[in-house]
Amino acid sequence: MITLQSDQLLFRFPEVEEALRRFIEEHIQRTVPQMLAEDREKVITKLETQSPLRYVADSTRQQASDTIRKATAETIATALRFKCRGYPGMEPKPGRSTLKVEFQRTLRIPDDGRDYPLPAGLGRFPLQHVDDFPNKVPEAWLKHGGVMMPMHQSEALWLRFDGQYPCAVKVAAGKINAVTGEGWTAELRREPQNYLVMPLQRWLDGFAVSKGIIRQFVAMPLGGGYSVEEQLTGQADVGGIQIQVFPLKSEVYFHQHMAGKLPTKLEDLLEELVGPMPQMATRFCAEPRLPMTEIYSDMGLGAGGMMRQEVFKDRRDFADWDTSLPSRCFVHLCNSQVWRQITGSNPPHPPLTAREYSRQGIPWFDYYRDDLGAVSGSEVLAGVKSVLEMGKAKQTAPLPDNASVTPEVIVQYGNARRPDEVREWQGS
Amino acid sequence: MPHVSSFGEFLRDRRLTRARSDRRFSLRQVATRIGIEPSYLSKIERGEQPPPGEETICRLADELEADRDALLALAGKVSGDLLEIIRHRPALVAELLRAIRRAPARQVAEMARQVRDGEW
Repeated sequence: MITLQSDQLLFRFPEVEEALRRFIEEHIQRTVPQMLAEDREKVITKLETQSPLRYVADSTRQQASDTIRKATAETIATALRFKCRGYPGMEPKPGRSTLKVEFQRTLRIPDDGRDYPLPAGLGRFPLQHVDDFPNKVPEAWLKHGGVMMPMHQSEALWLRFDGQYPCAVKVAAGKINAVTGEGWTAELRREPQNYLVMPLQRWLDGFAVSKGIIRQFVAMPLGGGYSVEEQLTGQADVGGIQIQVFPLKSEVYFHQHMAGKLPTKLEDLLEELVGPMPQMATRFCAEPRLPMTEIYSDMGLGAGGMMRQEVFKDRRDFADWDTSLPSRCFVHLCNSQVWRQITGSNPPHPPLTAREYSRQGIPWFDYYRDDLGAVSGSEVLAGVKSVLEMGKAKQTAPLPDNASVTPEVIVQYGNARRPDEVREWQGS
Repeated sequence: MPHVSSFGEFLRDRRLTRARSDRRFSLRQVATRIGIEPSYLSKIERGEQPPPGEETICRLADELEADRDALLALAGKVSGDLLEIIRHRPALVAELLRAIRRAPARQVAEMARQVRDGEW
């Protein structure tokens, strides 16, 4: 199930959430009798001698103790459900099992043979349902379904993924897989790995050409021969970006990420049964922490400059992915003029040049995780000519403002930090 | 039973508005077209009878160009297809409805709308 909200694609898996809710309910049914059978006085003595109830006022301690003594099966089950409210399937608002995908405007890095750090995100590209403009978009777009997005010629983008529930995500441009360089197939495959692993992979900026190096996604009109699709297939008839998402099997998620953390003893439910204790507010109010998106109106993605970015290896058992629940979306790319004609609205401003980017002091980012391992990149994609090289062969200059720059402000992200650091630039 | 009265009032207002410019919307003619007795329709409009069954409400909605679901809701009923959806996934649907209770209409419309997948 995919919805579009605030220019983000939301991939949600209600079947997974329902299964997780069922697993939690089964846990509750199993656990309540065990909790009921616990020696209440022992529980109270333990809580009174240890931190939660030790330093509270006598009246509060007395009240808490009485509540524990009188807890029924029903109140314990309610407290358990409340305790589990932050887990996927139990949250009152959908979110934890949703993968959000958005497309960030960014600097097109110079294609000069050097490898650059990651440029910042400069805001989301707007997205619209193609079905909203049935009389204005090409027939093929209606056939493909999905959404559309405007890009200026030779503009770059990166994909931002946001979600905590593990997913395997295939990304293709013109139905060429951005990780393997192979033509589109519906399958998820481990050897060679043809997908990204969420939530490890927060961003994808381009085609994986070698280990730790990508070539930036750069929009070019289809039909000009610049796109990776045209170079590899000899055809210019698909374009756009294709995304397919496979969730982790719900039973695997439950056993690996939830089962060991669910409350099993009455003492785990103190706050849910009697309310927060003054001294332990910060300790007990925290949410359960989980482990860790025939007309030339079409644009395709070509290969731009080189950038340091790893596509992380999947370290899970391949059978853990639920290949019965794929969800996919076609993202059509159109040039800004055609976007204006179709939607009547203006696309975002043209992107910054590298020089303007430096002048404004916008940072670059380096993100290394040498503890995770990266795929080796695709030889097929490594053999593709970049947009600049194609331009030279055609004796044209498809990339304006390609002068080299020296990134000065580089923000380092790495092993020691959580892999969800912000890369969006909000302005100074 | 306030909902009976408001359902009836709605029907009556709607029908009389149409009747001002179109005589085919007299009580008798509307009742005949939807297959009920004029006296029964009159009692429903005055709140003296509870709302009729789903099928009749839907025919009334079509006749008066009202939204079927809105008219059913006014009568305190839920259409059969919605009931089927709720029965299929009761917890999930209940959660969804509670989650959107205070959401702005635009957000609800966005949520309800899925991105369509076609042939690639």
